[in-house]
Amino acid sequence: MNVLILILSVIIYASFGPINLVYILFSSLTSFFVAKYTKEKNRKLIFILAVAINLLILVFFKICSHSKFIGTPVENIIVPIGISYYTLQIISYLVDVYKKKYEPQKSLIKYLMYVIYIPYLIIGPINRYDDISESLYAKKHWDTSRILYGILRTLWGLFKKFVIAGRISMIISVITGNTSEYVGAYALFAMLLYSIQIYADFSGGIDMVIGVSKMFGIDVKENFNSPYLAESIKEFWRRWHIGLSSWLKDYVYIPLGGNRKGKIRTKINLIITFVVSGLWHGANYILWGLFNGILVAFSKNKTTKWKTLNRIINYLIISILWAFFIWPTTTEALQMIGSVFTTFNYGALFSNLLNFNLDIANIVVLIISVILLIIVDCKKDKLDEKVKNMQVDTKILLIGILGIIILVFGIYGIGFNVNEFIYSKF
Amino acid sequence: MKKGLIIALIVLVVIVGGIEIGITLNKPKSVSDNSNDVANKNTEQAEVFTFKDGDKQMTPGELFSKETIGLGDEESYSEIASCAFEGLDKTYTYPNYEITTFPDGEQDRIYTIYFLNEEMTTQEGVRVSDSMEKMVQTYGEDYKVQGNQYTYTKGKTNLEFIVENETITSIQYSYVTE
Amino acid sequence: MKKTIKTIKILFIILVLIIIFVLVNKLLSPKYMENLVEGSMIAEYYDEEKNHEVIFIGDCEVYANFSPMVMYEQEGISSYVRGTSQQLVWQSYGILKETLKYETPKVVVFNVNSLRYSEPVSEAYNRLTLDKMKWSKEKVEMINASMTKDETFISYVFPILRYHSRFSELNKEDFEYMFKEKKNTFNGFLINKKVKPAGNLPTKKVLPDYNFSENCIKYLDKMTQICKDNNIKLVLIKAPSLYPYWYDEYNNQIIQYAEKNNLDFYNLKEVADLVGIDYEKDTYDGGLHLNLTGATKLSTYFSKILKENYDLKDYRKDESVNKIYQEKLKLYKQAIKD
Repeated sequence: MNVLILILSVIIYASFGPINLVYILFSSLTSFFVAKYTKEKNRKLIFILAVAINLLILVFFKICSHSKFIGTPVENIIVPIGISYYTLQIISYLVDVYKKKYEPQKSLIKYLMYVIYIPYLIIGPINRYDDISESLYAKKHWDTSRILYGILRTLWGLFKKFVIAGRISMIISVITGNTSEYVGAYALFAMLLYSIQIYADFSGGIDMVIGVSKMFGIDVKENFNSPYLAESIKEFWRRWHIGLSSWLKDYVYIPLGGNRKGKIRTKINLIITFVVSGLWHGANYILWGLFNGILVAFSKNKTTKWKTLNRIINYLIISILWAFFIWPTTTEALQMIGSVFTTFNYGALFSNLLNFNLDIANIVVLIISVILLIIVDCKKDKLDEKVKNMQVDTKILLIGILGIIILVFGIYGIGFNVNEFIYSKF
Repeated sequence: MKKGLIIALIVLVVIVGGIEIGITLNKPKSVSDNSNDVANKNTEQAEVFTFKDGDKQMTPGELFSKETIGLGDEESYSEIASCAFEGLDKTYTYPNYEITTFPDGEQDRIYTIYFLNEEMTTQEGVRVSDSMEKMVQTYGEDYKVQGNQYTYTKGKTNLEFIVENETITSIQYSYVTE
Repeated sequence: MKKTIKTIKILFIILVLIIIFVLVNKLLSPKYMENLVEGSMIAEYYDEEKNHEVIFIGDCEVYANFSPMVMYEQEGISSYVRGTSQQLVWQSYGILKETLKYETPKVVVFNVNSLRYSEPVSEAYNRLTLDKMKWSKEKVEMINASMTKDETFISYVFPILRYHSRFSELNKEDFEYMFKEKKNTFNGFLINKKVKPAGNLPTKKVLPDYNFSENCIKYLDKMTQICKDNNIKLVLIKAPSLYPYWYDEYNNQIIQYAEKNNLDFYNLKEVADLVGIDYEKDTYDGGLHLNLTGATKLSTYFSKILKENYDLKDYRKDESVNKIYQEKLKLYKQAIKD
């Protein structure tokens, strides 16, 4: 069964273009052999070299894919799919083995499974070897209840992606399509919506990864913890894209010194970590990382009675920062953020709300789905437990109903194309 | 939880209320806003074949409006209904060329611009009655052949030449619908 | 015991879900009963009494132009028009094949206008022809031959995949005709009483290629063959219309094809004057299709040709068939008057 999962993964991965396989095999083979065979002699040097090579490949592709950044366009470069994710996984493995946190994997096949497991290879999350290895290599057995839970989780992801994110993307595409007309209130509107879209899209994708993995009996770690319920930016980053955040914490922030070297160094370390995060997303997002870093560095862990107010303010700040993801260039994003504070065209925005590709019925569907999303996020842990313990027949009923809802209200088919995950670009 | 629901409800009411107020206050403006948007989108795409007659400029796929383009009254006008579906394909005939449009919602987009005589030239100076050699010199050999027709494609626009006995007998700009 | 109850419960839930799914599919599919009635014509044939000696196949130029009611009244011909909007030649072949499963007519009349389209043209028209068709081998073949680039076969099986976005545009028609149907045509003839005189038409453009494509000829050959095999006389026609232009080059190819295959070809466009077609009055869309008065003239004219040349029975003398037609004629006359 395990070998089958690996073979299937390789086949699917190769179907995106066989050239992808060359890069991933190079990276996994070097790391595997370095980890397995390196003796005490020159150990440090060899490990640093292995990490550096992987890092260089990643940085190279990151810069090439945003050719505007270096001035000369590099054409026809195909960025290997999932390189951002598997490179970080490999680096964490190398560092941990070097630090003797755990023994290196002896079987090449098992190691390849860790790197080339297709669900998380494409949209994340970033897994640590020690977190996932146990369930990844365990003997798989049939468990109807677990499989049904996996399907349900996958459908919930599809719901988020096709019903919520797909709908919002139709609105936002109109606004981004005309940057001279749609500024000010429109820009703010786009940012507020994009926060939901990127969350629904990305966490929906992760739900699918977790769901599909559950069907195989593999436990992929949660990547989100209701991020928009955070009351500060700092908290947000503990709840958003946890795989990446914790990776950055362990392999960038702490090696930099973390919070052990004084207040000022702590702030600098935080900012550097977030700039690296920006870089990981792509050269265009450095400024986004910088702003986040500054905000995190100077945000206080406050506990006030105004929970809801804090959440709303936090949501606003995060939404404004997403501008760097909405508009393709940094200048445009900055202009749009600026326009929010200079152009007050809220009347025009309201009169135009029905001209963003969605009619009243679709807007109502969107609002109801978002409310559902909020409720589920508020009650996440309880609900998850409840669903897991449901009877088989209740699960089947839920699967059927959710499935039909997605089929009816999803944005797909002729005229629509939302099959790309926002986060698979990175 | 209760608080959250109340806030969600308030947001809902504000949005729906806002839409209602907005519609009643500001209906005509919204339509023009939308058309601008689409027009802008098209001009932003750089690589297309654009037809020029003096200072009048037209690109297949763009919204058709005589005022914006600066066209005067046509010599003849016809509309063709499609069977079963609503909407009309419209044809505007000017002395040297003929424009056909296709319906897109409530608006019309330019479908083809067809040269009616030897007076008219493409932006690059090719006219009906020119030799095929001139066509190849001007536009290169990156064309698709179908029967007698040589088609050059840029973006969603085609420039089509029909050649008989090494001589161009027809020139047409058209929009790629697929 | 407990286990069986559990299994039954699960099976019951699955059954309920399937029923909901089917109902949702039905609700969201277009009904073609009051709007776009052109989409329901294909299915009206199924519950007809199958007693037709003449079957018309082809595009809108048959269902708008030929009235079986008139032809029955004039000459006692029992005929049915299996035309659909922009019926492409491979669809015509499929419909012919399907029809032959129900009955074997003496004459099949095919309107050759669609031969100009060498490949699938439009998803919307495919849907009008295919959506309401009964499932059969022919339908599968037709779908595969007709799909445009972005279409998928599965969306013909489960219409929800294509029509799910209709949830926001559902109207009275969708609920009213969820389980019932009504007839919109008279033996496939769609009455249109509007008058729009022929006006200006676009310039007749030079075409890159006047030859019918191999693909079209392949299906025309198949039609010829299947008619031969079943002892059916295949008659080719070109209905009168001013646009889209029927080029001489097209016409000559048909003449040659008919000669080679020993078929009859009637270019009714050329005899429009003789028929008495007045494009000022007899068309509902400026010369593309005939309206009721035009169709009545053309049907009268063509029924004589059919009667004289193809040894057709006068069903007015067949009591059982006559009864059916008399009832229809009553309704038809009513519909004309309204």
